[in-house]
Amino acid sequence: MKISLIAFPAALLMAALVPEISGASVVLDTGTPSTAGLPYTLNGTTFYAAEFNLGANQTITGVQAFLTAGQDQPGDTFTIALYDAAGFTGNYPNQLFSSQAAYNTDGWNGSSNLAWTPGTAGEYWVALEVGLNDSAVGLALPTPATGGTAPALAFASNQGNGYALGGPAIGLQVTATTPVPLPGTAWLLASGLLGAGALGRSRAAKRA
Amino acid sequence: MSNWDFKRASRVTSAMTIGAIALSALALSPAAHASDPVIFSFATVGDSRQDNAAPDATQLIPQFSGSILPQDHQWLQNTQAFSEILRNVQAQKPQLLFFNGDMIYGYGTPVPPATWSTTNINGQAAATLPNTWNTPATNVSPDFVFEYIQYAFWRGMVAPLFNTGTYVIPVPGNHETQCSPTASPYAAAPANNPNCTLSPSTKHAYAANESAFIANMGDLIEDLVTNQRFSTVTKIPAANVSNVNGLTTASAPQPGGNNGPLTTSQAYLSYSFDIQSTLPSGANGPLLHFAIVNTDPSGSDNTAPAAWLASDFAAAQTRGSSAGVATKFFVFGHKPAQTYNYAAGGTTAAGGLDSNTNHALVQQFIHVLAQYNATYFSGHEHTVNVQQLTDTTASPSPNKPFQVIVGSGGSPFDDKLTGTCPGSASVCLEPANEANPTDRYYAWATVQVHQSGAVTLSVNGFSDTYQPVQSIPYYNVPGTVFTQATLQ
Repeated sequence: MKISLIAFPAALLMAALVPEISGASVVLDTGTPSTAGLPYTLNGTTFYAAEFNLGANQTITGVQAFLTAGQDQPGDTFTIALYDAAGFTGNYPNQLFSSQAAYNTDGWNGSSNLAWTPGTAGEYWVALEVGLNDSAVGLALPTPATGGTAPALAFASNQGNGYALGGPAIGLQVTATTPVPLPGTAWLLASGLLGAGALGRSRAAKRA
Repeated sequence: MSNWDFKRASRVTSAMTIGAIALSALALSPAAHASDPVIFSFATVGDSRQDNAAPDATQLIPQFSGSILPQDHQWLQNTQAFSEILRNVQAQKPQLLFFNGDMIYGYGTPVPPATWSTTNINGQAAATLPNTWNTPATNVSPDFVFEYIQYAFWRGMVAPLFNTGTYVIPVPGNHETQCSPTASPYAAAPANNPNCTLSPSTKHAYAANESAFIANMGDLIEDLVTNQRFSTVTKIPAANVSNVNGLTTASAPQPGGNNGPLTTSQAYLSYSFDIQSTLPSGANGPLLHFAIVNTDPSGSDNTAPAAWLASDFAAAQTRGSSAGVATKFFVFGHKPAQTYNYAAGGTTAAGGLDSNTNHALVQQFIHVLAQYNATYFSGHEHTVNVQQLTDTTASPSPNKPFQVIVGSGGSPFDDKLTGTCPGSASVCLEPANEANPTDRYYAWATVQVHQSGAVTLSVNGFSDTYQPVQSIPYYNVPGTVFTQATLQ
């Protein structure tokens, strides 16, 4: 009885905790730009975005963009933003999260300590922008990006009149933590309960 | 994708291919850029005026029966291209924007009503605006009205820049200073524009046209002296202003010799000023000297005042030396010194200063640029191009000064599409002889002066399909293509 009293709550606790145990996965990887085009310019008037799928309760932990200096210096800042897909190309896109990042070197630049959890599975847009608090005046975005492991669903650009589909294929990567799938959690819960039951029967048999 | 779109996309693909070379060169360089903070920057572009008789084919709008936007037809600007450039210039936050001429279509003879001529500028009665609209004038020249409304529209377009830290410096172009007897709409029957009194067939600069430029742009130039708005906008004062009337008229270009046979004083038309840059430490950085040259002055069409420039540069050099700093020289004129042949393998008629039959004048101009390693920014050719000039005088300087043509502010591209497009079933084709894939890009140049003293150039632009802004490579050194040039 003593063991079952301990095992049963332990199994429930495991079941509750297991979904939080997760591994990083790449949810968007458009590939490294193949340097086959004139670089596009990221500045205070022209923004770029890529669309991707995110699972339920996945947490975005990092966003990286392939940038070169253009007219900027190491340390100049830009903004990474996450948008809901619904209404993204309208006049009032729904921005869910944003974070300032800095250009440091030609190549991948961005943020790796994010904790954005939109909550709902579906399509989202990750955007590169230059806001009022940013210092970038003209970062360069080589294009097109090819060969990525998780291609974008679509690209878009914003030239001052809202985001429009059909933007250039820029280099973007988004990583997210992935919760353990439900079947695995259920199995753990079931095994915990079965274990507790077996222990209980074993104790009862010994007493008899 | 329509046939028209497909053809345009093909050209963009071509641009991308060349861009690959550019970025490959970039990729070969070390990835990390050492930080070299920018201590001053300026942008430059020219030629935003529209042409009702010969607009670019991409400006023809189907819903307007294949004509250009009525707004642009009325005020003769390519508002879409120019405003997009201005938006991006604002995003770059330069302290200055030099506009290299042809802000209006002009080409008339804008003589004001006599009762409005209240100020004597440039050796003649200036075309000042009336200080009251209660005027007895009843006979106003159509040319005058035509040009003044265009100036006003352009001034309105650039006005937002002043609120975001960029001061606009105007440069006169041939459409401002010249009268064209044959250009539309003046060539209407029964005769060419009779107001072009010097010739019934040839374009010439007129004092009345120069005065109209001064009347509409003079306040921007005058403020270099008063610094009432200039220093408020740029957060840095202009100094040592040369050849602005009433202050240093003795420094005006003198007629003859390497200045050409000028017939007006050129005050407010060819002028110069200094900016003393400041390092992050608070110490003085390089002395930046800016000279504006009128390349179509009265009496001496298609010339630059080389003798005046030489004297002006020498004085600036002395000021820099006295202050113990290097002097950087920048010159802005409308016509290029060396015509860019955008029609590779074809024949592009020289439209720059090199088309003057007195070739010694442009040689002397280039000689002065080379002596001081000055960078020359121009317009006139409706395209974008960066090249280096060669001093071909008898005692040449070994320097190869950069010439940056950015006559790509919205005027109809010189390299024409073939066919009729859009709004027609006809195909719309790229020019077969395009020298560079960005020849038909709307573009502007941005110069950054760095803490180290390096002066770098970036050219940005967008295609005639109005895609997002791209970096435009510098193509003209064989074997190397790069997106940022070190000018000085």
